[in-house]
Amino acid sequence: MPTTRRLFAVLLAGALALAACGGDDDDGGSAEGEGDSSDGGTVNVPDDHDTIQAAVDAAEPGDLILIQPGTYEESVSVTTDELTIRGVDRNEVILDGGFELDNGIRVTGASGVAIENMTARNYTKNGFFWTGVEGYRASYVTTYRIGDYGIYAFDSVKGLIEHSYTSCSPDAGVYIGQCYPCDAVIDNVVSEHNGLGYSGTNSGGNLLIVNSTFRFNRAGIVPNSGSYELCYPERDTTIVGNLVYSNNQADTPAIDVALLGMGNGILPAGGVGNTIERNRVFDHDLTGIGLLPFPEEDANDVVPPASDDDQPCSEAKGEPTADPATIPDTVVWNPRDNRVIGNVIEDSGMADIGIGSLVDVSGLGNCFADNDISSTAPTDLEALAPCDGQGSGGDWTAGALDLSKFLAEKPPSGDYKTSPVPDDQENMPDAEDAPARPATDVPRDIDVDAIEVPDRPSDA
Amino acid sequence: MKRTIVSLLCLVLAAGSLAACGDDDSAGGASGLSAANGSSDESVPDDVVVIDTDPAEVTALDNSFRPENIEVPAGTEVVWTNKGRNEHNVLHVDGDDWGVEVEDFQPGASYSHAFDEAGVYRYYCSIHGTTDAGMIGTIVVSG
Repeated sequence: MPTTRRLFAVLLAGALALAACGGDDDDGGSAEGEGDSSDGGTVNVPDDHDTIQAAVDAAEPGDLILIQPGTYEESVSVTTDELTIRGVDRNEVILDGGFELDNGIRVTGASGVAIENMTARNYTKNGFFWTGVEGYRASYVTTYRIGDYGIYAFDSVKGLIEHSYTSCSPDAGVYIGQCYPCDAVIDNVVSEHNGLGYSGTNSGGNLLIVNSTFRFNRAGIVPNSGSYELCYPERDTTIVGNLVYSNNQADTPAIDVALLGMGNGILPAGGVGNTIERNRVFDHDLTGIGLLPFPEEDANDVVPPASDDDQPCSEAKGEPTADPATIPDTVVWNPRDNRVIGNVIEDSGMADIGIGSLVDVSGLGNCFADNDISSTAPTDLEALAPCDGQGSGGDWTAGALDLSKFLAEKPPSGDYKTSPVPDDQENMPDAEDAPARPATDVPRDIDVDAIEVPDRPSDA
Repeated sequence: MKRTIVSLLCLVLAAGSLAACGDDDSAGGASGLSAANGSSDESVPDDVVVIDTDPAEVTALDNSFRPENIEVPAGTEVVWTNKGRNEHNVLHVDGDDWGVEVEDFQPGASYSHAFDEAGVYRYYCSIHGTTDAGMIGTIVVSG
């Protein structure tokens, strides 16, 4: 929505709210300004409208849509800015797609929409999905048995995904793609029993994945590059303070790349310039942290030069692609310039930290320091490529990572439709009475330097 | 590049467009084209890529059509190819006489349609867009 129209809408919503300030009782509210939000009204489901979609269609920017317990068999499309869509009980407000509907809630081009305190299940594509927005937030949401991504932000900036749970998606539980800089935070999220716990294609730039748990997936955290989305490569994601463990699950639903990545904790596939620090990573059949190439067949473009790393996505989207005749049959996205520091990694089948490529890995600019580890591939990786000072000049081929192990056949995908149902999850505080909180001041600041390595769970 | 293409568009299109060529707000009127359903035109985008090959190629990535907006001569066959990793569809905004559903537009698949009549044809992927936002595209067919 153009800036002038958005400003007008916000001012109008504020004027309506002021006019209603003499009424203290929320008698069910309406989109006309009643309720306790200072910027808009409250639209109640089902009291005001039987369906969430009807409520969304009636709402004005700044409104709170408050949903009572029930199962809502809807695919909700949101195109209005600055709505707060909230369930009064995270585990009792359920959007159910019946394995026929595609998206639980999809926000298209509408900025500042926050989704809070509800569950989406049984959708063929995505649970909660934002595309082409500035300002988005998912707080205290649950998704499970979703055909592509549980929580999904595409071509969107300024976001926050927090206090949320995702499981049983064949692609990824959480996905942020095609943005640079993303200006987004994933904080205090649990993602399990998916193909990938987190996937992010061609995203990065002030993108923080912190204080979260990725476990029991095929692979844990997988930032990646490829030309099937724009704004390549993936770069500059900060991955700090996460618990990443037991990502070897043979029975999860899983797409092809999840099968390929199975058995790895943190796996930047063709990722560039990522910061991977102070994570606790354990119990992986292949690597705890693996920097790997992503070989893309039938690519749409060639790898851009490193000099383009700082190009914002808004510019990159308009760039022409290479002449198809000049694009190799396989384009290899190499992991370069990543920093792996201060992680605690153990119980890895091949190596606690590994790096591999189809080219000379010594020239890729990755560095490793102060990790609590017992094995690397190649051997003595922290001496070969320290983050401060000169490398040892040693042999990069000694104990090299055997990439063929990654190509071994994996157990086939499970059926996302019959994957485990999660336990009830923590409700947001004060869901009934908290005012609307559109996603206009996101993400919040995170003191990344203060984050410590999380403790190992007593039951893991 | 975009400015040159738009200028060319202004020169070659029907009479009545010249007065609007310098006016960004009337790009639709500048073309002299009507939307495919015959209504007055507001839907010709500014950043149209002129394609003079037949067939004309559009790539469906995750989640965008590239080029998003193209202009082709009447009679051109437009070929969409899904080169993403996700499923998509191609749905006509203003009617149902062309397009392809998800089942027949899986990754790697192609769909084609010949546009014989001049007009502006808008389309979208319903999974990843609405009729006017998200994964959308336009075919401008010149007479």
